[in-house]
Amino acid sequence: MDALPAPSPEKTTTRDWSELPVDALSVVFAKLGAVEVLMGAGLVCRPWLDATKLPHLWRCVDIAVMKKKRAVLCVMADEAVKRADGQLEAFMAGAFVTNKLLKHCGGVKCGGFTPASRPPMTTSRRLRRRKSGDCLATAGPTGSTTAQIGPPEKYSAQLRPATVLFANRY
Amino acid sequence: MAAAAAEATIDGGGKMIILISADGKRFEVTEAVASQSQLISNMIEDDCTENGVRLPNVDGDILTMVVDYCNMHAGDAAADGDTTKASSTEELKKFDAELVQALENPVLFKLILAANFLNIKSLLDMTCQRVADMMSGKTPEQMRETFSIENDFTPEEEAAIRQENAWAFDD
Repeated sequence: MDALPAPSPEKTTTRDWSELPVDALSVVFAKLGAVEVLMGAGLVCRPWLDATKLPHLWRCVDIAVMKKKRAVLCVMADEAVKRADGQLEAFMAGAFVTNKLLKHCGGVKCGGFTPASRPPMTTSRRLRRRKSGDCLATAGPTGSTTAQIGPPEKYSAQLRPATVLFANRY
Repeated sequence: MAAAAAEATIDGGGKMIILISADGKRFEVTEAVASQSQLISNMIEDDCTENGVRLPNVDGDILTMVVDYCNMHAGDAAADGDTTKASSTEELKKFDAELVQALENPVLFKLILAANFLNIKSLLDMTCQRVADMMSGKTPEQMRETFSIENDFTPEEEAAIRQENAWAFDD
């Protein structure tokens, strides 16, 4: 009496992985990590490519361990930050990070400023780009994050409270 | 197997709930077991499980696996559960590893759909981790082979994607 008509066999047996629900795909991509998503998973088919455009996938971007050329890493990191669309909360990278990228992490888009509206993920972080010593990003306990990225007169931005970590693993 | 799974829970105490798969198979489980599914947990709260819970998106064979999984994991979910019945962490790890390793692609896919629909976070995490492991280190083409996905980009789109995502194609 409770039996429902069974769905047609085609529908249940020949499911296509490209039709994985976005919720589940987000879980897979989150486990795979930003680098792997950029390197392959997002280029497999149209629905997967669309899924990689979801900003919440890019809240935590870790590009710290990767054997690629500096220029390539920079482009990938920039793309990851762009896809985060202002939702970036944690960013981990190696010494390849440039001033331009840091500025981008801060939520500065198209020359404008994104207000820091989210609560801070961490209360205090201080970062320094060691080689040239011209980058400094600090997340303060008030939720307002400021960065002075040299030359100071050129870049001075109100940052979103993204935690930016430099991993000197090279 | 389905009958055994239902049988095993009858002496588990608590109110019983009947889950009904798409193909009409019935599974009797305790509320504690069933409420690992957030969807069913919400239904229990709303008092609408009296006549059984119909799951038109889930086949009997998949629901059997889900029920087995939930039975095994009911121990961790119940804070003050019967410790003699609760599975040990070691046993659970072994059970999970064997379950997920043994899955063929189509079954894994359906299990993910079921975990997603029923909103069983730990099962969704575990099955999605398996998929992530299968993808790891592969090129887009290798992933298409692994999952039998058709490349649905037109040659023009493909060229544009290669250009925009040059990092993935250059070594």
